[in-house]
Amino acid sequence: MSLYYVDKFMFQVTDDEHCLARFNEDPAAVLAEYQLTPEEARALASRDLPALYRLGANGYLLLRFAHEKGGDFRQIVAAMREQAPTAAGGEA
Amino acid sequence: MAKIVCAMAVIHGPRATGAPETAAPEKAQQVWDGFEALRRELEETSPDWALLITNDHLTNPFFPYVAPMVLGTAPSFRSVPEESARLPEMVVPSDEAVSAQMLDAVWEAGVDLGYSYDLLLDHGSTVPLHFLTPRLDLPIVHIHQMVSRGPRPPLQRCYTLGGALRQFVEKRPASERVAVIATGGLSHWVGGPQMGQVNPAWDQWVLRQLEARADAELLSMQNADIEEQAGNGAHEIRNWITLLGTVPGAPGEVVSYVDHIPSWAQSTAHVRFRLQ
Repeated sequence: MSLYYVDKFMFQVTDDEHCLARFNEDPAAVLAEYQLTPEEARALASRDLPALYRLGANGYLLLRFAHEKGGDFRQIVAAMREQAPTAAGGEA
Repeated sequence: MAKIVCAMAVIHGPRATGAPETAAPEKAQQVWDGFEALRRELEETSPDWALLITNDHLTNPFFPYVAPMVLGTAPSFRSVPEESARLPEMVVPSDEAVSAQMLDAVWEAGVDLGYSYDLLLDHGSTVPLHFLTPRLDLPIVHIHQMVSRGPRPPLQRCYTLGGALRQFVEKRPASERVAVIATGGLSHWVGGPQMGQVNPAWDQWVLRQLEARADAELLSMQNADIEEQAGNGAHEIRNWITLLGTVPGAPGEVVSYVDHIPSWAQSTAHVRFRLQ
């Protein structure tokens, strides 16, 4: 069930500037409003994309959550691949 | 009874408009050519309105509850700005009277379609419409299916919806002309380490079934297999499957196919259906 709250959190924090501002100011307080396991809360607080992916967070929301830091999808994927080596991505 | 005068299935990947220059030029040209051929067909067949079967990418909230298939019921819909697609905000005209009648008809036919006055559009609609109806001068009746997050409706339900939509069109005035446009991938992965990869063998298998109208073969796909073989993005195939239900027996013709545009994280395809 708590994956729902992981996804819901990522939706709300990327949909609402006020929520994002509160999260940046006090991540623990905002995360406490969602029913998350300690592992999920840690992964969200530190924006640990590979950990969130392993936990089963939704891919579309992960992408949106990752974009808060800027960068295109290839940088995000590269960060995830560091933790889960697969075949190379290829040229542009 | 009204007539479906054209039916087409196209991809809607945002980087076609957001990062067109990053694709190899000869591949990009095939994409533009595919869209242009279908834009012309849409124009030449003069529909009065078009049914757009698509999905949003969790642009609309999935809480507190989800309808697996949602019909937009408003005079128009606006789109959200998307970094990946880089399109200006669109206000897409719809047809509220058609939508209201469609809802009743589909319910009567036994499919429990949800509805929304406030449906936000994203690249699932805006990218195809940018190419197919650049003047936004064709009323678009929108159906969004729950694709981007599970649980998802079974493929058979999506197909059955198509049949109910066809029955509705048959009840419309005899002179009315309707287009059906399905949007979404073929194989692609979104938001994980495999993003950027595709599965051309899976794509080609799907396209062959569309050409042969081997609908039962497509409907036999299981969600877990789709995701494993073709990526979480490939769940969008259910939009194409709904279209199949609207035009039973009409053979698919592949107008354009590009097996892989890595910088767009997708393959591309444009398919028209040959109608009687």
